[in-house]
Amino acid sequence: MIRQASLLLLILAAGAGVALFQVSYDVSALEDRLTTLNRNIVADQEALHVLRAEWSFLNQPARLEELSQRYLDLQPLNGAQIGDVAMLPVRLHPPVPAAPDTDHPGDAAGATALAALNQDVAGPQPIQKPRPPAPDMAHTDARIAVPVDDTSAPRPASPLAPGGGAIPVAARSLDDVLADLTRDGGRR
Amino acid sequence: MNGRLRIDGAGKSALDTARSRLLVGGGLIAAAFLAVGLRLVDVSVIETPEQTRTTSLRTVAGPMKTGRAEIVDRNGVLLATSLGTASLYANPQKVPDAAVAARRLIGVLPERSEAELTALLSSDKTFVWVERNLTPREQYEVNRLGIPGLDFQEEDRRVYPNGPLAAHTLGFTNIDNVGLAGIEQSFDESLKTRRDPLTLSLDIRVQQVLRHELATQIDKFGAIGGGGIVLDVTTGEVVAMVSLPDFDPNAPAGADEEERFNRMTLGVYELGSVFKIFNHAMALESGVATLASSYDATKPIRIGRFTISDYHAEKRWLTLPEIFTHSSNIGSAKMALDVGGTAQKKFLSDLGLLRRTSIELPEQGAPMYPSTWREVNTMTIAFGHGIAVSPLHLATAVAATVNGGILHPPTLIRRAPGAAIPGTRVLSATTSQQMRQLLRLVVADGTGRNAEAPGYFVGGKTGTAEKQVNGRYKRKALISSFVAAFPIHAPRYVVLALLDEPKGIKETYGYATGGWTAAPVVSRVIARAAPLLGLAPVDKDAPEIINALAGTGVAALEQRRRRVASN
Repeated sequence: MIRQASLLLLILAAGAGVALFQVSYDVSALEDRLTTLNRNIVADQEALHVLRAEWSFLNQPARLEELSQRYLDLQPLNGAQIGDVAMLPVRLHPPVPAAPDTDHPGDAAGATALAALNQDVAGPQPIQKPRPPAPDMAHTDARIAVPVDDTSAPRPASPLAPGGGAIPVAARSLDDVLADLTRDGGRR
Repeated sequence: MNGRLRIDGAGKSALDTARSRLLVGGGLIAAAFLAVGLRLVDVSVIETPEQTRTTSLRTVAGPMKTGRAEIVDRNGVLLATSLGTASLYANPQKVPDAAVAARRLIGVLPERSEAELTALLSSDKTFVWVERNLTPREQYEVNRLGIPGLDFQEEDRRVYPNGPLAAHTLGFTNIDNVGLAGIEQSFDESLKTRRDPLTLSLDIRVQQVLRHELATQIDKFGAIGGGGIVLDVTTGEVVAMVSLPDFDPNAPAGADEEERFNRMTLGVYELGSVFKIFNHAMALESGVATLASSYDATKPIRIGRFTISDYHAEKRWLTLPEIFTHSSNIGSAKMALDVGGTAQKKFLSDLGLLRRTSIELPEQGAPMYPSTWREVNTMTIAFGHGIAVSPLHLATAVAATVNGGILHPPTLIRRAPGAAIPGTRVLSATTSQQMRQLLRLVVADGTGRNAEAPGYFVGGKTGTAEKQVNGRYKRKALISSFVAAFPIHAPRYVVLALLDEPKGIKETYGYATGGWTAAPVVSRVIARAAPLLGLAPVDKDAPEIINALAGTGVAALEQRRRRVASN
């Protein structure tokens, strides 16, 4: 009886001892890790601090100015180079709502405008599909002078395209250009 | 029997003693175990909230602490910081052979002499600095020598990554990180205790533009020095301040007095015609003259041993705008006489020109003015002679003249957005508007044409003063300056440029006046800095410009200013 109890106690004590050592080692390992991490953080902070100073040193305006003069063709900004939207030519007619785009309903206007721009720069392109009557055909507009239903004819040149076309560039406002680009680009 | 009894008694008493001792011992041990058990329960069950105590003692790395806070510009660009470096010290008592140690050390520290190091290492002290702030490579080399008795001390070293760019504003520290000049000195205590960086009002980009343009012009005209200020007229913040020649605050020991001298705040100069701004403002404000009044400038004024004459003599009656654009000394003197000396002194005092400015720098010059304000002083002060103020005084007062009449104390510390800006009214809005028109007139059609920057509507005034040397004016030693505000219809910044003793060159037909030397600096600084400061150029045909310059659109201008202010 006593022997069994002793044996049990012995086993329990041994178990407790093992568990204690296990926990103790775990804690000491974690503490080591914490110390290492803290040391690394401090080292990184010091490195950041030095790097910030170096960044500032390398970005001295005087140094940048000299480098830019030596390697770049840039010049100090001139007041005449700055503009804002209000300085653009006066709009000649109200903006035309863009034709609904069934193929790409959620297409970003900017992306299509960019695509159109790229194609325009490449040169006048033939229209792939017949052009449906545009909403702006109803009112008097410089654009009705252009034959739009002729599929084989070159696409009416946008002011950005080389070759001009029938439309005097100065008479068009930015809204026209953007509207054109968005509509035509979205259809392609 | 007797013996047995004795034996019995003896045995019994021994057993009793043993038992009682056992009881006491056992009781004590039981009490100790009980105490330990109770404490165990206490620690493990009751005191659970204090479990964190031990982990909090093992510090989790917090934000880094340096010995001295950083200084940054208004956009957060680092201007001054402290970097940890190693400093080499020695205990001469532990250095076995000073001569050998010194000979080996100069291999690493070639700028030190062997004799000096030998003397240092054989002294009878127990602590001597050998070399402060070694580079990491030098530290490694010294370690490799393995000389006993040498050791390193971790120290902070103040570093100014932008070199001389804002040297006079920042100042510098000595080797023990005590501020000895500039912001480093005036904020010494604050920099030692605070953790977050000190944000200055300077914009390092504008600072560079100003310094570069000034340096170019000093070079071109062979001037002995110069300086410039860009001041925000609505807040009093100094956006850029340059004094040339300057020095590298990383090595302040190499700088001489001339280089350390801050011409903008410590130097006081007779600034000449730029003072006519205040003279005109005073005459208009006091009501003794209007823009339509005119004064006789046909012949020079003789008073005592002085003769007041005009540099660009017109020899006729001049209206107030003409006196301003032709920079007539005679007309200005007569205007000042009309206002009177007492009122003049009070007006200049109100503009802060007779006391030190509130700028946060230890280097501040006190204005010099006559102790007894005689009639002749009134006349000469009208055109900026007989009174000496620092260029910062001038810029601050000009800002008050053009911004609608509010004097804001100048500051080098960035004002938090939305914070209340201290200011006192010194001029009426109407006078300020008239002064803006007069200043614009000088640039549009007067001595300051070279200051125009297209799109930014500069308005300003030239100043050319002869320097006094030993109480006499030197004809060839000039202080040429130009002070401007832009855009003049709704001023945002005052720009001042000053050249010390420029010499005339062929390109300027031998002239070294403010209009030829300092005005082009102002023009180029405005053209380059205005886009950086977020100001778009204005069309010269815009209604507010026409209104502001026609002299009829005061109300329209004020309305626009209010709109700008509320945005």
